[in-house]
Amino acid sequence: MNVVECKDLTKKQGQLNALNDLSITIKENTITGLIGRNGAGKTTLLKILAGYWYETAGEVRVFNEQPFQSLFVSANVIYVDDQMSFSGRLTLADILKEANRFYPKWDAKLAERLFDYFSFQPNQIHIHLSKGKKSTFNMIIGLASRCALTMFDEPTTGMDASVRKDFYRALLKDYLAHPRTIIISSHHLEEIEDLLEDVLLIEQGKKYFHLSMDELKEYAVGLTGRTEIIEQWTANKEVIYSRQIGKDTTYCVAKRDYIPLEQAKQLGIEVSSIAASDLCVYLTRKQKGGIDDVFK
Amino acid sequence: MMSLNKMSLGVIVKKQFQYKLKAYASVFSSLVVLQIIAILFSLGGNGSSGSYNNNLSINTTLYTNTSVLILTMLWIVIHAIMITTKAERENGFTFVSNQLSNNLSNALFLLLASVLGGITTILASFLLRVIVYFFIDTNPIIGTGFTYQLSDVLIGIVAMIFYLILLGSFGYLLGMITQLHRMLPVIVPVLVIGMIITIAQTESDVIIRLSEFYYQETNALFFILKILVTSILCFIGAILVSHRLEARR
Amino acid sequence: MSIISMLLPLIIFVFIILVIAVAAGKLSKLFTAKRGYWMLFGYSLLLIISVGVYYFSAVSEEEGVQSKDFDMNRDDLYNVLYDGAPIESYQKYLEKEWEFPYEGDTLYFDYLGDDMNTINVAVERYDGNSIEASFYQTPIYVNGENVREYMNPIDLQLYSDQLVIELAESRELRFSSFAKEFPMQQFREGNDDMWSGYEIEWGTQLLYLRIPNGIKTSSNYDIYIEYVSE
Repeated sequence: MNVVECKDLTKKQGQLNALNDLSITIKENTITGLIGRNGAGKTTLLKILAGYWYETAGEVRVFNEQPFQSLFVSANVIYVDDQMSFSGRLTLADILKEANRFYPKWDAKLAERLFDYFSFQPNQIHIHLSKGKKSTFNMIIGLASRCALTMFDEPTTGMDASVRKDFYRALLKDYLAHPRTIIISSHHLEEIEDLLEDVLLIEQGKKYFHLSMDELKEYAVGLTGRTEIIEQWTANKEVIYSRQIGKDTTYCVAKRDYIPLEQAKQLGIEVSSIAASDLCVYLTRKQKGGIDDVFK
Repeated sequence: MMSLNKMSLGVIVKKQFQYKLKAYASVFSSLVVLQIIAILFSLGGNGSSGSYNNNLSINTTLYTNTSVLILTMLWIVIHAIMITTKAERENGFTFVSNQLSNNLSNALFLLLASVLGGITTILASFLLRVIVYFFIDTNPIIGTGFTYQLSDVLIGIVAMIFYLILLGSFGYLLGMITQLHRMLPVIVPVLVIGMIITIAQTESDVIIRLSEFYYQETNALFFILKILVTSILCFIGAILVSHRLEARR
Repeated sequence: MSIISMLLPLIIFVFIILVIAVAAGKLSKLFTAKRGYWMLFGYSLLLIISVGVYYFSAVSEEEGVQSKDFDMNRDDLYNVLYDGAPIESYQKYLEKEWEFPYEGDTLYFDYLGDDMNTINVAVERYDGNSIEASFYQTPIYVNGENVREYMNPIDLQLYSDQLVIELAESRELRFSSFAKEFPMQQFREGNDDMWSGYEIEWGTQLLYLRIPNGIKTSSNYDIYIEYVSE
C-alpha cells in the first residue's frame, strides 16, 4: 500500500514554484531520505504531506486522503522540525504527558527512557532549551508518537556528533521493532546513508530521482584518466561532474548505463565507485564545475 | 496492513481543549491580577458629589464595581485576540488538530473564560463592599435598594457571562481577520480607532442602537438568544476566515 | 482643542490595553499552569468568603430603606410667602420659637453669619406688643433618609432696636452609598436609568415674624422679606 501519493504536485510561494509538477509515491514501512539543497522544496513537500499547507495544483494523497485540514491524516502523521513550538507555559514533562493524550500509539516508556538518557530535566521549558537540545527533544516526540507516517525535517540541526549518532541508532532500532513509514530530510546524505532504504532527490521543486539505496550505488561511476581520452569518451554522454586533477588528468562522474566499463579499463581509465552522498552533491550542483569555476 | 489511528472531531476537540486549559492558564492569573487592581482603584469611590444648601453641605461617595466590570471586558477581548496570534495558533497545531478543531477548542476555552470571568466579576462586588465597609469608609452607608438580593446576583452573573461571550467572540473574529495578511495587524487597529473617532465626531447613534439591542433587552430568553446568535456568527466567520490559513508557516 | 480632548480618553484606553497585553505576556512567563490555577482558586476562595461576610454582617443592611416620615409631597414653606397659605397648617415643621417684648418704633434687621446663606423671612402684622418669631424647617431627605435633625436652627437676638438673625454654622454631612452593577439590572424594566448613587430632596426654611402694627421695619442687607397679609 502506498502511504504517500503525489501527482503533478505544484506549490506556488509568491512568484516561485517551491514544488513543480512533483509526482512521487512512497510505500508503506520504508525509510526514505529526502535529499536536496537548501530551498529545493523539501520542507514544502513535508508540510503539505503533514496537512499544514495546501497544494496550488496537482493531487496529493496521504493514506488515501487529502491531507490539508484532515484530522485523520493529522492523527497518523507527525512532522518534526526545529520550528516545533510548544507553549511556554508547559514544562517538558507536561509536553510528554500531552503528547501521550493525543497519540494513541504513544510509547511512554520509550519517551521516558530517551528523556532520561539525554538528561533532560522535567521542569525545563521548551523555549529555554539550546538548539541541539530542542532538536533532541523534538526527536523524542517524533519517535515515541509511533505515527504511521513519521517525518523528520533536518532533525539533527544543532546536535552534537555523538547525539546525532545516538539519534540515528535509536531511529533504526525503533523502526525495526515497530515498522512504519519514515521520511527524513537532509541536505547531506552521508550521515543517514546507512539508515535509508530509498532516496528521493529533489531539485528546484522537481523530482530528480527516487531510487533504492542499492540502485543509487550503481547509478554512476567515477572515471579518472587522461583529459583528452575522458573528453572524447564523454562527448555525447551525460556527465554529472568533472574536475581537472593534476596537469593532464581529469576525474569525471557519469551515469553508469552510458559507459562500457570493460572498454574504458582497456583504455587506461580508472573506474571507481562513487559514494551516494558525493553523487547527490554533484547532481544538485547548478554548474558542472563547482565553486572553482567561479574563480576562473 | 498497518493500523491507523481514527479519532473523531469531538474527541480531538476535547483533547485540544484540555491542552489549552494548561497552555492558557495565564489567562486566569491575569484575570485575578486585573480584578484585584480594579478593586484597588474602586476603593477611592467611583463617584463623589457634594451639594450645599441651607447651611448644610452633603457629600456622598458612591462605590461600584464598574472598574472590575470594564477591565474584565477588556481582558476577554485582549485574550481572545491573543489566542488568534500566529505563535498561539502554531502551538495549537503541535499535536493532532485541524483548523476546525482548533477553532472549536478555542471557542470552548473562551466560553469557560467567560463563565469564570462573569462569576468572579459579580462576586468581586461583594469583596469591594466588604473591604469598603470594614476598612475604608467610616461614613454612614445609606441608600435604598442597593442590597444584593439573590436574584440580583444570579441575573448579574448570567448577564455578565453573556456579555463576555459576546465580546470574546467578537475579539476572536477580529483577531482571526488580522491573521489573514501581514499588513492587517497594522490596518485593523487603525480602522477600529478611526471608526471610534468617526462615531464620536458624527455623534452617530450606533452605540445607542447597540446598547438598545443588547442592554435594553429585558427578556432573558431574547437577550441570551441575541448574544448566542451573534457569537455563533462570529465564530462561523472566524472558522471560514481561518479555513485557508496554513499552519506552521 | 476638541480633538485633543477627544483623543485623550482614546489614548488612555489604548494605553490601558497595551499595559494589560504586556502584563499578560509577562504573567504568562511567571506563572506555570499550576500556579495560574492556584491563583484563581485562592481568589475564588477570597470571593466566596467575602460573600459570606457580606450576608452575615451589617454590610448588607440598608440604612433608611425609607424614613418612617418620608413624605415626598411634603408642604413647601414658600407657599406661605407667595400663595398666602396660612402658617397654622405648617405647625408640624416648627423648629424653634422666640418672643421679644419691644417698645420702639423702628426695627432693624441684621444678618450674622455666612453671606452665601440666606433665609426667607415672612412678616405678619398683628395687634400686640411683642415680636413673635418662629422658625420652620421641612425635612431633608438624602437617599430617603431624613437628615433634618443634623441641621442647626438659626438663632435670633434682639439688641435694643436691632433684630439679629444669626445663621447657624454650616454643617457637613458625609454619606456613602453603593450601586448595583449594570448587569444586575439586565432583566429589569427601565434598566436604562442608572442610579447615580445619591438623591437629595432639599427641604425649605422659613422664619415667620409677627410684628406689632405700629413698628416700622428696615434692613441694611438684602434680606428677603415678604409681608404677608392676614
